[in-house]
Amino acid sequence: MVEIVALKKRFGQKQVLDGIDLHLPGAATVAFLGANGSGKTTLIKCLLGLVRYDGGQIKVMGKDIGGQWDYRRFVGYMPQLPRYPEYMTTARVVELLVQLRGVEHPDEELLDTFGVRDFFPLCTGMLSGGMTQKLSAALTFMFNAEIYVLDEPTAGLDPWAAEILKEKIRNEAQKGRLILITSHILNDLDELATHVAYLLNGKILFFSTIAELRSQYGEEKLSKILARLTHVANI
Amino acid sequence: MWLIFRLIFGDVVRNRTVVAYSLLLFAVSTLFLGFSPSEAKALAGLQNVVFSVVPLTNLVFGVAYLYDSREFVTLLAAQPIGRANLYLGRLAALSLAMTSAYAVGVGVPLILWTRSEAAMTLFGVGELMSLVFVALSFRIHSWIRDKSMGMGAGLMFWLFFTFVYDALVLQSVFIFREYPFEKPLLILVFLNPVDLARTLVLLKLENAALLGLTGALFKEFLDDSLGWLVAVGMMLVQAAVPAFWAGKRFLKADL
Repeated sequence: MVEIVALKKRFGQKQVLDGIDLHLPGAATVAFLGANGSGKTTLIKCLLGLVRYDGGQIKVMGKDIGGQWDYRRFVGYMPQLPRYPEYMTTARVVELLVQLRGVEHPDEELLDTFGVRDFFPLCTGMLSGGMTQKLSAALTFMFNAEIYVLDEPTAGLDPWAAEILKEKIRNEAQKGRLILITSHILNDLDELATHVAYLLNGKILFFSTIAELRSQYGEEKLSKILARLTHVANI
Repeated sequence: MWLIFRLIFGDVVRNRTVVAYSLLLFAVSTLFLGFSPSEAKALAGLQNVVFSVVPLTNLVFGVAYLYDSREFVTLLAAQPIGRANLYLGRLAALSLAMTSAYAVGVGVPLILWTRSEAAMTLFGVGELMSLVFVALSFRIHSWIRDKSMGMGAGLMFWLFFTFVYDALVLQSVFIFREYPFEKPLLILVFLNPVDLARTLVLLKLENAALLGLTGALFKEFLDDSLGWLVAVGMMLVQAAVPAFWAGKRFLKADL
């Protein structure tokens, strides 16, 4: 569903992405792992059209995204630290964003299960961090996207909300959607991820399925696998 | 663009700082108009306050708002909408919100008390000035990544346009006192939106004599509608240039 070829990006002196090649299929949940500064966020921002890359190509559903914006109707993005217009009510923000996406039948499941409707009359500036995160998650899944980009999705959510969100992610993956997650909470990734893309210094060190990794290293948990891997690769 | 405009405009007009700014302008305007012995004195005093508060608020609030809304803009930029539309929507929203705040704060009292030519000049020129400084805050934001540095730059621009520039102009008048300096002075005044705004209002107040020989020259230049057109055009250019420049950068920016 997403094809990335020889993607390059330089910030000043630092070559943040140094020739990334990645073919991401549908019906997969891909965990992006790598140390801070390995290029995970930049890679994802290139896909979202937030960062202009210097070289290479990204294709979403077969189409080159260079200079395009229409493809983003297939992409749902949940940012790490969202902030909404402070003096606008939650209801109004949701209403205007639905209009912006132009979706006729938005998926309102998370609005109900997260109880986002309870704070519809409140201005978004009054919401706590967790409530803002719930609003953000609900908005991300409203627009029937094909590809979801989730940046630390469970950070700041209480355990109950985190479970609801994980359930939603699993359901969407089963419907054939591609889900990209960057997170440092490996326990969550254990439950969700079907694939792991490991970045090191702006390159893909490996991209394989969780099942392959588990049989290769004889460990169940991602944290154990990563520890073994770091040892083997001498990273 | 229309939806972006609604998202940002609805937020800015309810912003407490903007509401307070509008109320403050309203209070100052009513005080000057209600308690001054003559209309000319009221307007002269009012323009003094207003032309200092308007650039300050537009720069400091504008810059702070742009930094605070960075996460939301990043989210919007990931939606199916072009960058140019996103930029124009924000520019229009912030410009209209700030000009509305000024219209309520200064425009309404002026229309209620007096509809004289000088009063309407003060109203119109203040609106143009709001546009100039909103645009400048976009330019500052596109140029400096750090919020406190950006706010500092906003304050520097304000100090420069309201105080430093005048000091430099006076200094050059003094240095070139042996030479005919009226025309260069005219150009210097045209280059600073705050000076230009002040001059335009003072000339309408019939006490242009206070401005001396230069006042006479200004009066001559601005007496016909062409001079006015040039002055208004100049302020529009001063708004358009930084806005365009910031927009060009935003199109290519990494968010």
